[in-house]
Amino acid sequence: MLDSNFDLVIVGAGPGGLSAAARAGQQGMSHVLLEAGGAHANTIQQYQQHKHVMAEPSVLPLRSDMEFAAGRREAILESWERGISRAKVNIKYHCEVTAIRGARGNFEMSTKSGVSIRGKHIILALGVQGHPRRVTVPGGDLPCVQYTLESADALRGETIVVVGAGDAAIENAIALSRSNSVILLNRNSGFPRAKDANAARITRAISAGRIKCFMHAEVRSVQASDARANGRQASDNSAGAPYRMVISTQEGERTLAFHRVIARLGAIPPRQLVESIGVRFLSSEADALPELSSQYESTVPGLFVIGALAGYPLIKQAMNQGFEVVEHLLGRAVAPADHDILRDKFRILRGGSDVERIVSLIHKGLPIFRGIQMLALRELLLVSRVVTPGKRSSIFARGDYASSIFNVLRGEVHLEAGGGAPMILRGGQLLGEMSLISGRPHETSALAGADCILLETPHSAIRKLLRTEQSVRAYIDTVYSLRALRLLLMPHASPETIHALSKAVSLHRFAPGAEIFKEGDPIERFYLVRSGSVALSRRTGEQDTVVAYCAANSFLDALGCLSGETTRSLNAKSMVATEALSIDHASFKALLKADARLAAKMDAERTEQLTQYAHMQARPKAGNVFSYLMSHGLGEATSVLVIDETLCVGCDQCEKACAATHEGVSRLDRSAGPSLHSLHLPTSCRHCEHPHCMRDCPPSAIHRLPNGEVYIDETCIGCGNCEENCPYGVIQMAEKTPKTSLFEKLMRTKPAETVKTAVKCDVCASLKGGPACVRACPTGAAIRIHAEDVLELARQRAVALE
Amino acid sequence: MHQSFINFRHYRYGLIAGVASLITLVTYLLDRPRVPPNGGTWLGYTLGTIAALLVIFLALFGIRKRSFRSTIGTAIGWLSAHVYLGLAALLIATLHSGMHFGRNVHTVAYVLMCLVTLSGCWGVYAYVSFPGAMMQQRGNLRRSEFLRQIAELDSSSLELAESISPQMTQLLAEGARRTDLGGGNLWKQLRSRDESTLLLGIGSAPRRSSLVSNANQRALIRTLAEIRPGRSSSEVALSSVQKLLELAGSKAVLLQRLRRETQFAALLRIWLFLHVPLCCALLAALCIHVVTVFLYW
Repeated sequence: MLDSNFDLVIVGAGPGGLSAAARAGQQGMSHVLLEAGGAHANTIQQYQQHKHVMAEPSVLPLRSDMEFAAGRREAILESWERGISRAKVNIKYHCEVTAIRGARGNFEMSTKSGVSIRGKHIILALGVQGHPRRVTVPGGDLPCVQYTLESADALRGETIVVVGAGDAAIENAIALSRSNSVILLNRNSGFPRAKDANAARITRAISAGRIKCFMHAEVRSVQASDARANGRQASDNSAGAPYRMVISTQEGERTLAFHRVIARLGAIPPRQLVESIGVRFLSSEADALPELSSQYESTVPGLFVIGALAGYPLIKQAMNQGFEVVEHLLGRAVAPADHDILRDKFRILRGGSDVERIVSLIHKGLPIFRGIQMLALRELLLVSRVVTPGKRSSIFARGDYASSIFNVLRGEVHLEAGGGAPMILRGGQLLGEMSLISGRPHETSALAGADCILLETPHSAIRKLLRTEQSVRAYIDTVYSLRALRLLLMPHASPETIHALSKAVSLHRFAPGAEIFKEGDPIERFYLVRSGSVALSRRTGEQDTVVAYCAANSFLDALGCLSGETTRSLNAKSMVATEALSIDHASFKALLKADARLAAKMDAERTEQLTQYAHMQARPKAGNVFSYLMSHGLGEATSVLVIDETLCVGCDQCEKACAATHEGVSRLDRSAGPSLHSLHLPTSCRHCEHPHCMRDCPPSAIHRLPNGEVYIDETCIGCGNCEENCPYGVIQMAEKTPKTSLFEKLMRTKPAETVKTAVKCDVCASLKGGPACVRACPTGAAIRIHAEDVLELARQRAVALE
Repeated sequence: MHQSFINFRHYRYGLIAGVASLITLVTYLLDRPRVPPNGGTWLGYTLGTIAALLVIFLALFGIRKRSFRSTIGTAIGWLSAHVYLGLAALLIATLHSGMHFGRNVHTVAYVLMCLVTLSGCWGVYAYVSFPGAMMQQRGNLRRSEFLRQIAELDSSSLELAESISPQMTQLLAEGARRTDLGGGNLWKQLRSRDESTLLLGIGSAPRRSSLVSNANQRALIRTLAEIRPGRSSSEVALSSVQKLLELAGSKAVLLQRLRRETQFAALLRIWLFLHVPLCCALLAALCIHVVTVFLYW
């Protein structure tokens, strides 16, 4: 078969490649599927045993001759194995393509084994895993050095060196540390490449001594221990480690004895190969995507790119693309898999049946999406919906928590803040960006005008886009600046003034606990907190006394900026991850002079802040209580359970009530959690402003209601990401046993498999009277408060303590 | 923010109960029945009916407390009403009796009511004052942290003892093993007696060794204090002994705090074992009282 000519050559036997080959096989097209490894779907083969593989996006139908549904890794691999023989796929293993030449109708590929293959068309379904970066030091090729970890549970009592500082290295190190002694080698000093949750987990594990870590460390050489080298019996080695490595650290070289190395140094993406053929990429950035047509054809005619390499990391997307490309090559018009779903969504629009036209109109008409790829837009539209609110009906109300943003497609929207004339938004404009950024309730109310049509997009989808698309980020930042200046600072000013002012605005990001300014610093900038929260304190004697608290959408130390002072009289420290806008102080002062209404508004702000200072300054203890509460994350809470220990009789009615109203599993642990100044924070969900749990939920099963409540719906797959991402440890994985009928029980046909799902406090959304824990507390010890109430709670506690 | 069941909604139920009591009292004083005041006059019957209904309402708290899905008020509101109306109910029942007591089922019901109210008053006292006292004993530590700290003190002592002598190690290991953490049955929790013991004379003939009380680690501290430097111990060992004494002292303090906290927790529970059965007895006696009154009418 080799050295022969095919209509279609598919490179890479992942889900996309398999699906394309299966279609070609079914349709009797002459094809070959080239796989560098020894098995199909290499990446999935390397997943840990019994891993649950998801079939996202769930709304998207599967178009493939291969079967695929969410399930265990083993079941999926088996079904594909069957699919390969059923569809008569011509698959060749150990066939790594090293070069591609030629053009449409006459491509030529060279492989590592020296044979060349000709094809009329090529589908590249390489994935982005590429080849793992290898340990290239002397001895790096010893069998003790491995690049994957199939099952951490299979290894016990070994000394294992994990090399790397990314997510894979961290996850492996933590999993292995349960039954092995683990040494982590990190080339740098921190874990900036890892997800926040993983970085926090590894830092905890290192400080608790569960994992030993060398920073600024590199492997110099690996070799078998002398005992092994001398050829002694293996039993002699079981006590000591069979291998040794020399590593360099800042303190000099060290020798480590070990059993096994797991090197997780990332992968080299196959971009070089793809680029060498002449495929253009969208940018020079390392993670840039190739330029593709809507049929996934690259800038080299006849060469198609699908799957993760094309920017679609999900299995179902890749499989659909494989199918679609083959259909296209067979000369059949094929609408993308999302076509019918989008047509249903657009039905209410005039000419909505022409999906392509509408998508392109949205692409051109909405500035927020103008810079993103068409295919990415389609993906976003899949989770968005078109809404047509009636005239004068409410889109959202001031004080509601948001879970989506809106783009005006047609008609107008009236945005009403506390005072002043409503702001009118028309086609192409965005609303809901302030809540998206602050995580706090809407500052405005939005009412629909006549013939209003909106595109509603969930926060989770927009956040995903914000992470990858600079253009979306920049657009939202600009809109936020303009609106914040208008709504929070100068509702009376003309759009031109606001526009001019927004040019002088800069954005700052502060890590939790970062110092924004300190007493004695010159006042250079006037800050508006955009997200997160900031505590202002004053140094009295040996300690800092907290005198004020600034949440998102409030001005930082307006007092200092307004009093004609030149230096700060307060320290400002971010309580959680915080973002702030600022304008330079001189321009702000000039603005104050020129604008009497702004001056009056700021004067009112000044009076309020002074009053707050007076209360807090008189009670330094309140500052201590406040600091304690803030240090436990209350700065980002929208509903947190606080127990007054002077009232709590320990009856556990709160826990009993929680369990009684939630299928017998209490979502709060009264006795766990920190206590200080007779205030106890039991382990229970705080319903954060920017819920950490929502950040990485594969099936998007975590939602937030207008009242701020964060809840997990029944689509939870029990992956445990939320449990790990929650910094407050309030999510538990509960085992649910599916109900079995009496007959099944008697017959014992199949042992009922327990399903793990994440459970957490839902503030008893289904109960009329509110949270059962609070309602069941007979002594009034349990209350739920919002971050904004923390200062008042601290003040009251200080009074009680005096 | 936080409010207790005492000052719930600005003493709402206290005021209601106070006003009701006052009206009842004034009516009683102003009432001039033809016979001396008793349960059989129109006022007697009215007060009796009110008191009986109140008792039923008070008893319903037990059910409401366990109905976690109920939307009829909140538990704190119910408790507040329970406390104040309970006090008012006793006054109303007393006036209902017209101070006629004797050896009969009616007086039994009344006495039971007094006992229920009395145990309830103790409950209120306990609920108001013990949580704060418990908190003081506990500091900011959880129970598990107490136990962890005690275990840490034990292991540090043992580590140090190992460097001194095998006898010392055995003495301390025995001391740790025979430490009474203050748990056990409710009676033991309430009594709060330190029943820790210590085996003295380890290493000598079996008959010579003796088991003594080690309450508050006193026996251990004494034994450690009796070690004379210069005879068998070097200078280094003396400092170790001092360190051991410090550790034993800290352990004694922790044990005492833990025991006191346990005792308070037990006291917070114990009164309900009296209050609830007495309440059931009262309901039974009340039924008999009502039935007999109508039977002999």
